[in-house]
Amino acid sequence: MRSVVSYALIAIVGGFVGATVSKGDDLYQRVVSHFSSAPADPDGFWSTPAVDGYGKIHYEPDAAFKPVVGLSNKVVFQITRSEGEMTRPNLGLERVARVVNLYIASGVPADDLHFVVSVTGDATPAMLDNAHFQQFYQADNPNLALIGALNKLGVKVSVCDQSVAFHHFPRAWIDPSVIHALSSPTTVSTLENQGYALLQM
Amino acid sequence: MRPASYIVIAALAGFVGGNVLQLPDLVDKVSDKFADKKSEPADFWSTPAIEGYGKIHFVNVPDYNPATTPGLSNKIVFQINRNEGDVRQPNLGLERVARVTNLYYAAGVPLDQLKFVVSINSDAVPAALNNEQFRKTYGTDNPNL
Repeated sequence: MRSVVSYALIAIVGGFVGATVSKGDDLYQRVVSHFSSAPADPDGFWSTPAVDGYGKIHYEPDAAFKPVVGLSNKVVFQITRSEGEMTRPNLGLERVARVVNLYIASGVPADDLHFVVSVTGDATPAMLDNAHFQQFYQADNPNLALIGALNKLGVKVSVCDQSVAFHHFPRAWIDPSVIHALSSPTTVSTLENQGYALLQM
Repeated sequence: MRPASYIVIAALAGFVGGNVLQLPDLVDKVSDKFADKKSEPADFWSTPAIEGYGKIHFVNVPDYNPATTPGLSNKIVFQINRNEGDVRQPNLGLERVARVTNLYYAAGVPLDQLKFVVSINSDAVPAALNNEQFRKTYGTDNPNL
């Protein structure tokens, strides 16, 4: 009798362990598939047609609400944050580059874009010239090449002088490619009063 | 038993000692955060239109300047829906409205040309209570009035 009970117990325990192990494999697979890369995009899926190397887009020619020639195409972008590493370009600036790429991919010529970027708050250090950025972050300012590329397309980049003052940066520490504005709110209101659309980055 | 307690005491003492040594460093870090290390000259900040609120550092510039841009309506609606910091201090959103007003005025736009409307909602609503009700709720005068 005793041996029967033991066999039964062993069988139950064995079954339980077996079930857990097979379940474990299922779990393992789920975890693995979660972390492994998504299906690969074909070559040419992403592109940066106007701002080379920044703000990659996937362009769909038949998408709705595309930018069109004939609008004022006045846009003011406000960037207030600094996300991620300082050794990478500011994500807000990358998003501006993405919008520029999308407008130009949609067929609006760069000459027709009236784009102004207003940088303020935590994003202000990204506007430092290289020497002073080096001093604070021991690295070259990764935003300057992007600002240069935007400027070349006629996109103006401005900084909030109030934020510059709150950061205790002398005005001369801001890179010469950046326009000084009284403040970001007055930049946005002045431009909105002239018919610009506000995009909060 | 004895040696074990010695070890425990020694370990504790070492831990305390280590922390005490770290302390000046910690205090420095904390005070650095709060001290205004770089002292600006007395007239660096000003509040030309709304005295005592929304301090600005005014340096005139030509670009995106409401005073040098002709034909502006100067119509602005400010939406304040948050309540940050100490309720005994003026709402930070209202301070920012004061800052913008100071900037427009400093730039040279006459105050009677500003068409500014502040819209307060959500978490910022208690700031609009009358003084009596504000006192009942927070035990202090309403600093926003």
